[in-house]
Amino acid sequence: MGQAGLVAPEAEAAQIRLYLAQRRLTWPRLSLGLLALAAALVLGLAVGPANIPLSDTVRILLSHLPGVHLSDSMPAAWDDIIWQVRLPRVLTAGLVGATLAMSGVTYQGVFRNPLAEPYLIGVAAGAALGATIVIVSPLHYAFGGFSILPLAAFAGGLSAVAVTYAIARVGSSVPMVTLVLAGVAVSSLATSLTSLLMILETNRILTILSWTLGGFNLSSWDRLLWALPYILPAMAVILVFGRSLNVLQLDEDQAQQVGLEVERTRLLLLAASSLAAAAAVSISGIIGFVGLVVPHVTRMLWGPDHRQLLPMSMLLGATFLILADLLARELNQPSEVPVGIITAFCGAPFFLYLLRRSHRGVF
Amino acid sequence: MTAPLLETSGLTVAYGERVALRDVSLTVRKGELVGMIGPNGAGKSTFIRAVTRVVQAQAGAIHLGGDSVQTLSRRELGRRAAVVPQTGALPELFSALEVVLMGRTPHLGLLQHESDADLLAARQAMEATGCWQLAYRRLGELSGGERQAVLLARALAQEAPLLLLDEPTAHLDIGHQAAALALVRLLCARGSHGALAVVHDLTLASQFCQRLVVLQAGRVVAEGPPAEVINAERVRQVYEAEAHVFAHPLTGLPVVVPDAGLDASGL
Amino acid sequence: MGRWRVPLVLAAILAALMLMVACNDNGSEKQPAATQTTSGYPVSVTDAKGNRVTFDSAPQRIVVLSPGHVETLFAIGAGSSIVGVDQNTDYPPEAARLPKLSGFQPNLEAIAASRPDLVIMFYDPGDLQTSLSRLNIKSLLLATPKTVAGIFDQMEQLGQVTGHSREATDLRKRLEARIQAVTAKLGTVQQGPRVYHELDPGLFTACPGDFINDAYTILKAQNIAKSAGVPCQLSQEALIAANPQVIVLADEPAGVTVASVKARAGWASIAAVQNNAVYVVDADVFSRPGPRIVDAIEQLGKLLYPEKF
Repeated sequence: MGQAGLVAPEAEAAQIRLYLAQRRLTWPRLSLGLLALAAALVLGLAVGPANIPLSDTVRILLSHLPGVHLSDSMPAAWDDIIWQVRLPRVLTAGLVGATLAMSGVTYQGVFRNPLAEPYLIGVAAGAALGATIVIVSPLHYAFGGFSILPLAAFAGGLSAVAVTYAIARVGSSVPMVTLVLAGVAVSSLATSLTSLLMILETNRILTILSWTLGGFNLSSWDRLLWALPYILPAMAVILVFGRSLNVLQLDEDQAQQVGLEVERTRLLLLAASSLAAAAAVSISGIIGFVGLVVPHVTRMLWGPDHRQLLPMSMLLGATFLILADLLARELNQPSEVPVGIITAFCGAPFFLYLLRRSHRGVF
Repeated sequence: MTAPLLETSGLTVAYGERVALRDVSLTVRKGELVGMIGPNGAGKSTFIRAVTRVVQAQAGAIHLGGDSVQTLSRRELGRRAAVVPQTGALPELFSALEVVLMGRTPHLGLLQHESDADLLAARQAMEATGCWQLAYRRLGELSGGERQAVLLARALAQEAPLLLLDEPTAHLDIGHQAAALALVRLLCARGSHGALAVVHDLTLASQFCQRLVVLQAGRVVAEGPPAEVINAERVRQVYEAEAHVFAHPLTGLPVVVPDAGLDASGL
Repeated sequence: MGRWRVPLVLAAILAALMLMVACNDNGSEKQPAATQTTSGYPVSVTDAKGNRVTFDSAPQRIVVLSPGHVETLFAIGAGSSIVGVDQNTDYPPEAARLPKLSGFQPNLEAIAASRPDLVIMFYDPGDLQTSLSRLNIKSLLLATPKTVAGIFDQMEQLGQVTGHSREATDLRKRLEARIQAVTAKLGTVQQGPRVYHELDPGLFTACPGDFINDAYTILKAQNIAKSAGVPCQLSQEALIAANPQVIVLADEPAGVTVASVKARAGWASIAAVQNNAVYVVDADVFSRPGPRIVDAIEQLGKLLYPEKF
């Protein structure tokens, strides 16, 4: 039956593998992505309203390595700005961008729907409600430099997802369509409650809006480190399940028959991506567009295999958001422009261009 | 005697109020190619879905290789039974090889790394079904027959002894129809597989399957070698259609020709 | 029962009359004698939307959906004409007792039910003015002024409309004198300290175009928020780089304290933090375009130039 070839099996497998790798262009693409991210990081660290020369920035960064002292001659404010403000800001933007993109890919893969995105089953609306409740309550939310807003937003986001899941569950399974509908309902409810609170406490409207619009202006090491324990494990889990996401693209029957625990895999993927998205939203507000469009752009450029799609989307998402945040603080300095406006402005036309150019189909 | 690849007894499946399968008992052993025939809506596809536990049975037992389907994990199910579905919605952007490799899921470890063995198994399966040359082409670019070959390869790549084919010849031309069933028959004859094929074409079913199971309204109404099962009376009863059944001049197996309602002069 | 009916009814009417009189008593010491000037009418005023509104007599039932204008009206002696305020109004205390309506989502029916003959607002959310005009209710959109002088201009406008022009002009003169007293003490100062005025822990501040910014300009201080933005939110690193010498916190309701600001990551090197020049002020006093803006200016004078006061 098989090929009694002139080539030994190991060599033959290696041949296939090499051909696949070349077709997938895995390493060139990953390198490109990493390069883009590195460039964005450098740019993000180099440019800002404080106008610190690049050489000084480098010296400040280096002097935070143990045993290195290069920055004694510089104003203390610069060290604070680079190390306490700009560096955590750029890293947070990158982390959130990667998280939103990864969650977007996961949601689109699990729901097998090109319109799916991380806020589909209530994370954003719930987080906004959580934050709003704290803002309008007599509860003071700024304690000695530490704010409980991220916690409240996180709790709100997760609660909304939990409620959505509880509504949609039928016995031990969760029909996808029901889940989406429940998510829409829960999000609407949460949003209307948020609006109600805004109207009742009009002198806090500015705060609520600013949180909702999203941004990295208040990024700090504290916030970044707070979110990491939720985001990194979720990323690890999802990356491992890249291949399963491929298999999930078969219809439900086939995916099961081929040996995949569809129900369990879906739930695990949704739980992980919702957790990560909730953590991201709670430290950065609701930044739209990244979770919906970056997966599509990556898919259009580099194909549907999730084992590539996931890391490439994360790299692209991180790069994109770092650059968008750079514009947010530079365009109207010293004032901030909400970063969600920039992501929409930059992303939409590019996406339209890709749509027109693509003749291979989108999904 | 080893346990049969598939054994159902008293299988009853209902979708809400509608009973799709009633008290169905049948067996498939290694080496057999069993054909399942019957009119549309008789429950043939439901049978395959129930056997792979995609739908839950209301009553009766299903055993794969001697173990109840209820006790097997998805992985184990995938190692014992492989399905060749009707070509319905398939992800258009994946390449044929990638889709065939999906069939290796039951054999992959936790980190889901595709090893050399997996790649070779996929290649072997694709060469057996004659679609290796399409390996790197996207599914969306392939014809119905080519996709069917890819799906058959995927089932073979699963390395499960039981093959369940849901109308595998639906989109194939006559040459490919014969080739597909011949391949399955060969695999069974070699003793490595057993298969249950849902076939629409009665003649095709008769020529290739050793045994036929006739399903009507969810019940098994006849079972046995084609020559015994297929006759004009049965066709009238089960399909409510008029047909002429001849014996193949060489094999003696039934050849079924539907009655066109024309007399000798063509009117 | 029959014999007592007439006296009972008379007593009820008397009680009702007394009640009405009692409720209309606005015994606030800030009010000058309520003399109405009969001259001056008809008065024509053009509001922020360009609508020209003419008054033949003083409005008697005013709904004011703007806390700052409520304070002004009470200060010029027109407080008795107010029949409805918005939910944020809380000063003076008499104003806090008036029926409350929503300023952001005004309910037309609720407003109309108060039977006003004038509605004053600082913001029209959805063609409220058009709806009111269809009900033949006059309305004035007095947008938040961009300068302190603009606040005083609106005071005089309101004085004309309500027939309290003289009180309004007197009030203006007194307030301007108080400001003069403060700026006189500044003497030869050319440029005052750099200031950061915080409206919200999200680093929202008063940009050019905000009357608070004008207050700082009057005091010769330099607001580090130089460019206008909507919303006006400072980039954190720009703030640190600008190194304000004084930080004024108008966001205490959000739980912000001097200690919490000093503890913010990266702020330790800011001059205001190092020199303990971080101060909490009353958010209301500093945000309402009314007579208390001068209280704010006086307070700011002391905070910005402690050595001179």
